[in-house]
Amino acid sequence: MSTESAAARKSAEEFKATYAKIEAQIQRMMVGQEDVIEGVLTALLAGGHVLLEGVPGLGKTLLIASLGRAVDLSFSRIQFTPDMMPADIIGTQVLVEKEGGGHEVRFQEGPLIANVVLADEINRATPKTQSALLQAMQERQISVGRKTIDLEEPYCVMATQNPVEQEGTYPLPEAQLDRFLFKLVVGYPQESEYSAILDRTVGDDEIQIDAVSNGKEIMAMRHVVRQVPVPEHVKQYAIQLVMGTQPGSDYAPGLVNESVALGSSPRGAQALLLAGKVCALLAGRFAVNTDDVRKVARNALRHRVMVNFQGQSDGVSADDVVEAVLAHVKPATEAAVR
Amino acid sequence: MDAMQDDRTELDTLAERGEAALRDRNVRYYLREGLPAALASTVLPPLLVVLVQFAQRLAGVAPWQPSAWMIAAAMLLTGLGAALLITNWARRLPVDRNAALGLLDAAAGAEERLVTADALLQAGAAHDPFAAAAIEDARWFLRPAVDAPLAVPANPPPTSSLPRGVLYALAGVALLFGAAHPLGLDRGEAALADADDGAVRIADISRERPKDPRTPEPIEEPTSEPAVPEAKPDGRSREAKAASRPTELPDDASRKEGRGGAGRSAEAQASRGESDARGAPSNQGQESKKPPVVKKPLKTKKKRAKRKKKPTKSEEPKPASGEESGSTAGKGSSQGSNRNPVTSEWTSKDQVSSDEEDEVEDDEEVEDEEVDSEARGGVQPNLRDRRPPVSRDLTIGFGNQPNPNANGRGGPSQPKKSRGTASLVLGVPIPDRIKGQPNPGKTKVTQERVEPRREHAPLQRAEPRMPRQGPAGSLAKPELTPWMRALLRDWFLRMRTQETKKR
Repeated sequence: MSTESAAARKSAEEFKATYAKIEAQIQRMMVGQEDVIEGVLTALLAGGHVLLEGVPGLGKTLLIASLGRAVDLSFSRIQFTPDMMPADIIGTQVLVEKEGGGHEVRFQEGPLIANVVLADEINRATPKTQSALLQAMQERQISVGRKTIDLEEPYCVMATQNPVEQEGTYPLPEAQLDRFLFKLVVGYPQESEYSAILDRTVGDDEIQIDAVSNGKEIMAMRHVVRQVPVPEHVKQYAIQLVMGTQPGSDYAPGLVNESVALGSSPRGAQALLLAGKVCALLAGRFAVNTDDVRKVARNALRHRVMVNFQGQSDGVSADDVVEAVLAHVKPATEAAVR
Repeated sequence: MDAMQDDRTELDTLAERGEAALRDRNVRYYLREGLPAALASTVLPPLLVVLVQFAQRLAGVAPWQPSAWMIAAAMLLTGLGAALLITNWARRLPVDRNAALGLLDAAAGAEERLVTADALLQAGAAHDPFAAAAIEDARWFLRPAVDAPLAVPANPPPTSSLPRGVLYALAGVALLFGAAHPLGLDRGEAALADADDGAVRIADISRERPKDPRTPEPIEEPTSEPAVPEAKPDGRSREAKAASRPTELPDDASRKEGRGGAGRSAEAQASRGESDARGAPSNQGQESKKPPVVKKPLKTKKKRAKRKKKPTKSEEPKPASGEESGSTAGKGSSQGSNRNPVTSEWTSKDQVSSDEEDEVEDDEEVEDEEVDSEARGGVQPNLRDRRPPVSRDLTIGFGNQPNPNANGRGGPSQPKKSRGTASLVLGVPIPDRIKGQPNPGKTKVTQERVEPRREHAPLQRAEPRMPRQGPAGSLAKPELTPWMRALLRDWFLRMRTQETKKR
């Protein structure tokens, strides 16, 4: 075993250990939803943002709040409402008294300035307020007047939205949807999980979540993720998957050409590979393979595909489109063996 | 470094093993698939013999008659040759190295570690810590991969089926040719037996025709010259020939039309030019006076579709013998028109008007737009066939004439229609509801180009406003207290006094 590979193995083992500790803390609070927990942690470690979609009462907010406590990061929650303005989340200039007398204008930070930001029911805010998140999510900085404030890393926006109550909501613009690494769909718990949920929530015992990691460790883990190599055939597979969602491309199946108005951008391929790297490390491998890419494809691509009017009327969902692309595009390792 | 070299060598060996397995699979598969075609190709030698015999008969030479074993050997060789061709082609099909190593990965349960190690070694990334770890990780699976039995799928991915298609096409052509020319070997032998001194009696073919008892038996006169033109066996019966022969017009019709078509009705003459351009020339070999009209290169799709549906005049089914065209009879017009000169005025009018409608519709839509909208649903611009954007001219029109270029679109993509100034031009929002979706869905905006219309309303005439003439009615008049009256009186008196002093 060479010294280089020994260092990589040690980093990968530490990565897995820290991940397991954080996951265990979250699972003290959350019952079931392993896929969602894994998706949220994957996005956090890949350096992306997460959009959680699910009906009320499934623990979306609880999950993110638990994560904030388990990682010991500054956590803020924004409850989005239609009358909210950008200054309400970014911050604003306020007139304050000086200690020695007189007044001065000082910037009062908004809730957007934190490590983990829970944007609850993000689709209830107007597009103007939603757009205030764009710069923070992409460039990790916000501009207020002439001032630009760098946000502290690790920075992660975790937004929730409710797919049912669509009246009085503002669907997220494509530019913002594209900035989310994952869109996770939170489903109902299993029958066997209800008992544990009730035991934990209706009793008198208060569940404590310990901070088992911190921002520095998360940043180190992100660095490890970036070091994982991607073989050429996996890269090509990710590219072909993304192109497969674009109508008119060589890799697009018939469903995409008929029912998709807008396919994924190159950010989709970035998301596939970054999340695939996390999956590879968690699986005990040191390089990404096509199974990793395939595993994260649904979460990474579903919100980047816009179904057209015909597709909506035919009942085609973005998940159907991604499934069709996955069935149509085969990696090089399978293409000749199929 | 040596370990890396060893890894590379072992991966090469494994890749060769996988490639060999995939090649064998390809050969088996394509041989199995191509066997029917190879068998079908054995028809070629007998068919070739028939063709040679046929050509020799046409040329008046005694037909070549190969022996049966020769034909059988040729058939066997053809079949074997086709099988060899398929095998050779399948063996030369390219096999991807990643696919070969992927096969071994699957056999050893390595989760693509071998492919990954191979890719990282080829990319020269062995010094990277994680790449080195990945290559070391793959080392554990090299030995199991060497010994693991390969589970090669039976079917390769769909590739070009050219050889099989070619063979089937050849066999099909051969069978069709044989069916169209029912000259078998036995018949060739019969013809050979009848041949006398090099003279070929092709008239034997007419033996199959039903004999008419009323017609006398033709007297066969042996002649030294081959009766090629008359007795040409074209496979058609005498009745069919009679039916296809142009029917002559009645004498009065041909007389009425005359040589220059003077006897035609005015409509028929008017439509003659069009029919001259499109109609097939007369089968009497007469020349058309007008030069042939060259088709426009750009035609609309609608026009093509119409042409497909509606047969052209030359393709129209020929009418019954009583309605045969006068021009085709060779006695009337020399224009090459196949239109009936004795048809009614109504028919001629209809034909002319339908042609004009075709021309009018042709100018409406250009084929390119329809092709593009079909290709991508009119949504996302395709980078490969990017064209300059559509005109952004937003002018509504010139008087009553709408501006044909003013569609206000910034390009072919649909979402751009609702942006910018174009969205302000008389848009009518129509909410659409999607089935199974609780919200109203996306708003569809339909834009219409309309001119502002004047609304009629009763005129209001301007007139001077005069003070009120009539009584004002009862007004509330509060009673003032005495001190208020005194105050008011004093205030007015003081004001009058001041005015008096100023004067």
